Amino acid sequence: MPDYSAAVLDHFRRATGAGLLDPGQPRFGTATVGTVKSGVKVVFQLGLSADGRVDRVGWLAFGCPSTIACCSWFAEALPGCDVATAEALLHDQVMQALAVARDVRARVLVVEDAALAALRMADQESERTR
Amino acid sequence: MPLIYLDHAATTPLDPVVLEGMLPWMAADSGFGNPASASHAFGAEAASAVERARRQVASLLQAPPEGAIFTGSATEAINLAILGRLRFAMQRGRGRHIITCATEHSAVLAACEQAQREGAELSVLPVDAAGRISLAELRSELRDDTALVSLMLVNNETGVLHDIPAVATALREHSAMLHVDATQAIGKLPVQVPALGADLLSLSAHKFHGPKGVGVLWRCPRPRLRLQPLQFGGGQEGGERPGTQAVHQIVGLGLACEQAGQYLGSEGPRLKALRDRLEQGLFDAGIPVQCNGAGPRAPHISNLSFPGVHGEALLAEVGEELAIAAGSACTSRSGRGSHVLRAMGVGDAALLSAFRFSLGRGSREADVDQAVSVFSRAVRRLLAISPEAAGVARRA
Ligand SMILES: Cc1ncc(COP(=O)(O)O)c(C=O)c1O
Repeated sequence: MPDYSAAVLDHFRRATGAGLLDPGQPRFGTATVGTVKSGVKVVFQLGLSADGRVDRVGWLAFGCPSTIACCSWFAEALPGCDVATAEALLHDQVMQALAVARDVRARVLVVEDAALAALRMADQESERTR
Repeated sequence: MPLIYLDHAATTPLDPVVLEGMLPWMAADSGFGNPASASHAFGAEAASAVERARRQVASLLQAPPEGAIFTGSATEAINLAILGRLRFAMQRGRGRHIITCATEHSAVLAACEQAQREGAELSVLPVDAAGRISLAELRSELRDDTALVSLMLVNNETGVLHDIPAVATALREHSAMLHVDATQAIGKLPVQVPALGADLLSLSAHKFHGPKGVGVLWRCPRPRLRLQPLQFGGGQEGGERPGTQAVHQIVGLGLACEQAGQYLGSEGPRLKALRDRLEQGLFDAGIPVQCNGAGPRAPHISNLSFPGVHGEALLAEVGEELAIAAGSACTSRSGRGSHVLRAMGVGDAALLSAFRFSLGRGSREADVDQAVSVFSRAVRRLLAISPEAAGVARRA
């Protein structure tokens, strides 16, 4: 079995936030990135509260344990963040926090892309409703 | 909980009878003689042990013992068969064309590619979705200069059988030699040279409860099928595989052949029943399962995919309870998934979630039932969080 960090295995098993959100709620963003053929496919969803903070996260992932762990880590780290903080967090903290092996970092980038796209969509939605 | 071993196609545990038989040939005070030392008793007893093992191999294969060449592995036996025969044929103007198949073991494919680099021409037969070649296609690839056809009896990933006797019949009027990689078949199916019609046959002891590091290339001794040796040195193994024989390994191989012969009648049906129980259990569990390789199969291998979940994630789920081979892209050496499954046209989702379950003499119903329960639980959990599953869960 490949070597996973304890943090990857922990989040892989916990899978915090797995499942889809209700798309009918306001300030909602969703993005699907990746393909089965490439070995990673992620649906990432989040919602913002009226004051612009992430207040709910949902996701589905087809991928290796690091992919799934990364979704779970975001689902724990993002709630409560405003958009700017969430963007910064998405950009550079997960690799270190999970001690992701170098050869699977491309897969983690897919999760980052999906989360970022969902965040931007939710942000635009919230501007429209403001 | 002890790890359940379901990877017998990779290797098998040593049979205690075989181990016991090998030990005297690893002792400090006896059994250490060089079989080539004909001038004293130490050498003579080692030589006679090697010849006894040769007869044990021959008896299992129902073939003349002088055809058996001891090697260090099936890989070496295969290389000697393919390169040894092609180099000989090319030197003597007896052809330069090889026919093999896309789902062969990498030892065969790599040896054929090496022969190609040395001037041979190679035809690689495709397989259908069931993993089988077409005899008509084989016939149409045959040329006047075809020197060798190399096909496996049992596929190591799917268990699918090639109809070797039918291939031998197709070659009857042709001068091409037939090499059969029987590595996965010994101890699971009757492997009898006359019934198969093989001119060359490779096997490896560790696949049937013998020691690692010893194999056999059997080649037709009458009329003697000529090979160009791959190594040069003393005259051991008729000069075709020079180097002092590993007596303890060879003794172990001989005993493993004897044991395989004794167990064959009961093991084949027992393994098939276990494999069917495993597959039925998973089908009945209500999870998506696809069986890769529906053709006639050896009894001990089942290649199953669980579309919708990623093989690497599934392995991480089951790996603490089951020792099993995952065939997904990430775990395969090429990084592109199994070449066998790709040749069969298996789709991406199934390719990435393929597992090889392989059973052996130690496998019991309880092991299979546990595997069914561990896999069903793991697949259900991963499907619940997969975008590829139908009807996924929705959170508030
Ligand atoms: C069909 C087949 N051929 C050849 C080999 C190579 O055997 P060995 O490990 O003895 O080199 C194997 C083992 O994986 C095999 O399954």
